Amino acid sequence: MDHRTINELVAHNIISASARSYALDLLYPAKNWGLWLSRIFMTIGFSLILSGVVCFFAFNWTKLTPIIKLGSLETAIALCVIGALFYGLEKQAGKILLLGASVILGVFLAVFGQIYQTGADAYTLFLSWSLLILPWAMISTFIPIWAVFIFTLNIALQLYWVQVKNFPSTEINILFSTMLINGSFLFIKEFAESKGIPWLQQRWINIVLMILTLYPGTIATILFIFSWTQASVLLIISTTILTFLVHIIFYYYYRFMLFNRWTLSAVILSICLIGSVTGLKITNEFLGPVSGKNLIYGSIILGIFSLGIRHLRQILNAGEKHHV
Amino acid sequence: MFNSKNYVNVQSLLDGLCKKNLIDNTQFKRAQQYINEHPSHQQLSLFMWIIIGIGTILATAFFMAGLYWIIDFTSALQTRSLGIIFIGSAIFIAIRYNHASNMIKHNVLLQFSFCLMLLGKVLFITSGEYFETDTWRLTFATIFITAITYPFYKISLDRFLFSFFSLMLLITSIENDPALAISRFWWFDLLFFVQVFAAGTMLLNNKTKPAFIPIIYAMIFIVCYMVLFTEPHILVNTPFFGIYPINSMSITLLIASLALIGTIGLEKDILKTEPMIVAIITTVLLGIFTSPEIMLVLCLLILGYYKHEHLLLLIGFLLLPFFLFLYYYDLKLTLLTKSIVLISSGNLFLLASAYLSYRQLDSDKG
Repeated sequence: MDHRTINELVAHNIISASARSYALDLLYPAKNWGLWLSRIFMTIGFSLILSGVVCFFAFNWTKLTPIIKLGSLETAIALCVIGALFYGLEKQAGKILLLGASVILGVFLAVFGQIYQTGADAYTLFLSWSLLILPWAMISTFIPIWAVFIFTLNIALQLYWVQVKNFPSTEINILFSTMLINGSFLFIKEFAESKGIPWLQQRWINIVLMILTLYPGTIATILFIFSWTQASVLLIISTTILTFLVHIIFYYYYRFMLFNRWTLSAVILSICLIGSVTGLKITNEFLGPVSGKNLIYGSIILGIFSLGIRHLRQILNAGEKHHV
Repeated sequence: MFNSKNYVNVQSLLDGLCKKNLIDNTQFKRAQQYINEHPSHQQLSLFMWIIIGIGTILATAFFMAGLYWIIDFTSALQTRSLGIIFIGSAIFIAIRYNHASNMIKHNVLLQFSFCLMLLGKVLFITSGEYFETDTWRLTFATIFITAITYPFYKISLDRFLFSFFSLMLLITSIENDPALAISRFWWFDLLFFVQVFAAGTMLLNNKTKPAFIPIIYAMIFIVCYMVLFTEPHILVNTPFFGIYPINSMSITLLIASLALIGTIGLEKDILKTEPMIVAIITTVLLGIFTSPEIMLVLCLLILGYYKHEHLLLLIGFLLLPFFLFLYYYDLKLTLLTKSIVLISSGNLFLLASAYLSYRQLDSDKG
């Protein structure tokens, strides 16, 4: 039962608008406009101010001396941290101020690198940034700071592969290391959630982390299927085993242990995509240059996706019966 | 082993409505009958449509490439006739097998029907001509075929996609037509205004049929596109910023935001409460100097929260970082001007939040 069903009942003149209003308040009880507006205003406001700070220092105003640039950023970081201490990290304002300090710290490192140019690789900036905000992330119990940490770590890792280890099949290495690192965070998140840590109970984070773990693997596998002759034997074996394992684990966990429709759908979509590409590759190798083979490809894709949808519907129907 | 918090028992909800005298026994039975006849698991959820959409679009692309070897694409008669046959077959399959009890048969036929519909519409719209010939012809063909099939073909993804394409082609046609060189921006403004108010009114109206949801979302996506990617045309020479573009969309969005806040306030009888007054003042101040993207984010978030439309909330939240990314690389303004606009707008939001906090209107009991 959700708001769509209620709206349909109103649209079919079965219930009145006042009944709809009551039903929606019952379904979604947290109807507090003051609290909601305050949080939305604070979130948007802080996002805009932080973006404004980034734009201001990216402008690289020549009238500002290095000491003013670095000094003002250091002051901003200090003020944010003092503000966070003043409000306390259990309040939203304190957490947002610490998030501000985490972002401005990155701006500080960029400006520092701009003033004292050493020719160091850019990945060091993102690595330093992520490591420096790690203690704040750990004490903050605030998801956005962890998001900044994970984002900067991902960027550092990708730049590392490109700038330092310029291997052949770099994109596959990047995708697989991204998969491993985000998968580790997902594992930690699930473990912490199972221990009942209150601030980690939001399920959407798991969905985002799961997509960030699964889809780099999916893309890497698809790339590997299309250009498998360019990859080393070790990479082929590790790719196959890791992708297979990740899909099995996710499928089992989110179907039988912690039922979640979105994550299961993401797993099934990934399987359908990999299955379709494999089907196309095998058919292409088997048929050779035959005109009109695109019709066969289309049928293969349609068949695989139909099976995927059918399976998903079976799982969801079984899931719904448990909730009635 | 299942764990979910998203389900509310239908029976207890209807009992609650009955106890509050909001529905009588007849309504109770009708509601129960309607819910039993339309169980939620029979309706495909958003994530299922995403999977079906990706699969069908991929398959259609291959079928289209396959048809290239079979039919003569330069013959308008041949492609149009084939298009109509495909569309007719898709509608027939969808109606005939809508309630097929066999799930695998239903899924295969649903996807096959959708695939036929996509193929049919693409063949009908292009009908023997190449895309670059005349965008107006493509636009009218798309609007025509979408309007004709909309009542009969009830797959919401198809309705959404072709409503979206129709509007997108309309924008492209206005943009590329040399005859509209002078009046182009007024047409854009008119189109934007109509879409904002049509989508808003339909969403706010409780009597809107579910069949119109796809077209509402198509309009919302087009409004987002227009705000993000169309050029502002009013340039004002300011003393501090120099030439500064004022986007006329801000005015439309300001009016829309105020209308939205007014509607919510009147319906909930909270128009004269402090949070609403703060929201109105903040909106007016934002409308004066901030960019239309921020106004749109605010509109989507308020509308999404009010109507419990999680998709709208998601679009609103995703639009903000996307806008900030595009704004950073926008060449019309210097980074200094951008930083001033962003910081000023941000401060205004923070001031509003601080006021609510100061007046203790943001407490859980507020």
